[in-house]
Amino acid sequence: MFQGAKSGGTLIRLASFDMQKLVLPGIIVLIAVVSGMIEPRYWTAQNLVNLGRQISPLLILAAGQSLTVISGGLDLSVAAVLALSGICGVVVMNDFGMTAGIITMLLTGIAFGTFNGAIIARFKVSPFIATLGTLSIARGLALMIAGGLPIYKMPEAFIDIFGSGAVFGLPAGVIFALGTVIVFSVILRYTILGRYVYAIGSNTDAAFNSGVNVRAYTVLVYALSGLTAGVAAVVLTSYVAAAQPLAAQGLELQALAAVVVGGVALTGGQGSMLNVFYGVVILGMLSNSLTMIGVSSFMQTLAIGVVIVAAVILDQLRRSAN
Amino acid sequence: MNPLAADHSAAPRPQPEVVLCASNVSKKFGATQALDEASIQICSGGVHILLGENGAGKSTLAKIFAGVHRPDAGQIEVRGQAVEIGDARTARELGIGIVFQELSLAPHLSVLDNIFLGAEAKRRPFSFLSRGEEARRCRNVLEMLDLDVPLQAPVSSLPIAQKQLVEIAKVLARDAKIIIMDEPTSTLTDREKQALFRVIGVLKQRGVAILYVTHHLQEVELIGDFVSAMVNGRVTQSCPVTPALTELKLVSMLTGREVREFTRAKPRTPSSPLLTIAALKSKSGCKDVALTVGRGEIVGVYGVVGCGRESLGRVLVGLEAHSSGEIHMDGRPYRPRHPAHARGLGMSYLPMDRKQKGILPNRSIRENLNLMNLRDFSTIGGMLSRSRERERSTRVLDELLVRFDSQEKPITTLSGGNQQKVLFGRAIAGAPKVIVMEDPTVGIDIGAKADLYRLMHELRNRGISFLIFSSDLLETLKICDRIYSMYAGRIVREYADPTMNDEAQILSDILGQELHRAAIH
Repeated sequence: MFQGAKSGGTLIRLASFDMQKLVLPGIIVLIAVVSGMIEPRYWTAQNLVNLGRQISPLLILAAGQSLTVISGGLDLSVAAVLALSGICGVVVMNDFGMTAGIITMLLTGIAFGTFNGAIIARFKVSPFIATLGTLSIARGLALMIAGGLPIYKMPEAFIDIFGSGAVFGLPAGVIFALGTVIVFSVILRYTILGRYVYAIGSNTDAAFNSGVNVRAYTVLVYALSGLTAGVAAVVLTSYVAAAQPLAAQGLELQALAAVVVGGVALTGGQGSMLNVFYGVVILGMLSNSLTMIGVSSFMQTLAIGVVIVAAVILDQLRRSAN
Repeated sequence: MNPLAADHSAAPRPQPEVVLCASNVSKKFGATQALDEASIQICSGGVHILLGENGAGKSTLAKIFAGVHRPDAGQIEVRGQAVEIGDARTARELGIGIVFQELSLAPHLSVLDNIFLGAEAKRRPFSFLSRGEEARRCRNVLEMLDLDVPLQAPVSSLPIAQKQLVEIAKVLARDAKIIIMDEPTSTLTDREKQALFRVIGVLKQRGVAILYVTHHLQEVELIGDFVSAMVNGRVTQSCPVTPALTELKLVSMLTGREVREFTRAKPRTPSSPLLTIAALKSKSGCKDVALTVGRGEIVGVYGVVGCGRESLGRVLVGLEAHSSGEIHMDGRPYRPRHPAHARGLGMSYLPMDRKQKGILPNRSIRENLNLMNLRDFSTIGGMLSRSRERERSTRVLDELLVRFDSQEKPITTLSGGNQQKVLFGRAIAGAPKVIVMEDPTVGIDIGAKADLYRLMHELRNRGISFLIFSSDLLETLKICDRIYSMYAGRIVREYADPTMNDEAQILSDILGQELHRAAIH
């Protein structure tokens, strides 16, 4: 990785570099082994498939969240946009068919994301406040359109294909989630957009002075974050076979937590999709394991909070050690 | 001395032509007329120095050429063609590159990513980067600059001088034929400056036109072919650089008036020692430091970046504990736990980076000035007496010759020189015994510098001591009663009542050239 691998310090650097790479997978293995020892049912295919289904929406949102956080912002509206997309999509689906409904879900997400990005880029509003506002707007719209109640009516095919469908045992939701992560990972690593996302998060002025159209790229980043809300809406709505205006409450914070556990700095400019993936898996496994072991949901909430705080402290220690 | 001197007698180069020309360019920011019908012509294959004090408009002019700002009126021509430079991309397509004063690098990105940031071969967001091709071009450019850094290293891991070179590499990778450098030496040490000047020589030979913005008069003689001076948004004079162009002439060009040069009065009778340091060792770079600072004395410690002077400063102001050795102040052991503690013991501190570590940018001049001595204004109920605070502010700002219209305005409305005076006012509050200053006059204009020097000497005469860590040797020689040269964590030599004649000796001290010096003597 380092081309100037000449000095004696390089070995140490490479060693610690690899260590860091192994920390998150190590934690995953640890959770798996410990849970398996306490509760043998943990290692059944049924539970692993369940785990995959449970974390799919979170994984999709976390992919978009990574983009916004690396670019130096964040998107609090994703979960609310997910609910709105689900409602809009199902309403359209019942009149115009499944494909139109799915397209509506994705477009609703993109539209809201673009709206977020436009507010942030055009008026230089802090992303925190801007998306806090649109969170409420999206949630409000969802409640209004649905009349405050969940919509259960939707085409059977939608539930069969996206909700309970599977390829080689992998549920459709999991395939969507992995696909999203891979696409976003490629975007971050290999495309111009990826380089600009890191650059804007690292030093916006530098990016602007270098000729990056910071405004346009900021809008694009939030549009993609919105798109993940649309994709997650398809997965979640078909899985629970209902479009709920209050769906996924708090999921935006879980996505943010996963991004942070995955070592992405909230100050922007650094982080990798692979680590965010680990972050999501850790949070998902933790809640899954605690449930199986029989820990109360109150206690679970507390435990996950402790993990997040510990992850941030560890990350900070690692950063200052460098 | 002039590293480019050979250039004048070199083989004939293509006839210089005017490549960049501004006529009657004006620009207003709010109520400030930054540029007032400024005109300038820049030729290929030469270094055109643009001199001006802070706020004269030279950076604004540079940024207009780079497409960062748009002029309100006036015309820009590139190679005889009238152009409109609306953004950074247009500037690049016209072959104009700018090396920014505030580095324009993204710290987390690699050297390679930074060099091509915004100048990728393709433009669509989802296009893949052509990393291989970029790496090849990148190596060529770095080779030309004689810069040996790993392409994948994050820019934040490089020392500042290398960042500056990456910044230049970035401009070169964009095939710039006209390069604008905005105060490129403001953060460099003398040795790094020499390296930069060498690169400028190479660029010049390749026929690149360089517009070099600075307020350092010495640089005109060192690298300039042509010089223009800006005063109040106008280019007032332009002339070729010849030996007849003395520094005094430049000063009058620069200010439009005569400036009274600061001269240091002889130190008074030998003062009693106030601060003594013996065999000091610290984790971050002091190996064996011994020095004394007398009461009412200005002492300078001079050395290259990394010689341990920063570490010495950190220990003294309580940012770091020393690992061994003794420090005494007023005969008592001195071991500050943190800056507030150091201050309580009589050690005040004016940090190096005004923007990052000095000012509270959104707060008023008054609040910035009185940050350290709020206790002086507290009343019985623990409330602050606004009137007493204002009174002190008015008095101090007046003594410090700060030019301002209201002390309630944000400190950022002041020029750099006036901001520094306010911070100086903050540092002297509460009767400190010693004031540690790092680069006390970086980025401030000649007038404000002379004011600050005079203020320091007034305080010295009242018995306050100063310890100066400056990267500017001439400044150190000018204002210090005594200088210690430092190299590799140790004090090399002490100079009492230093003069310009000590310059060569100090320079060889700080580069650790023991043998070399022995050979001369």
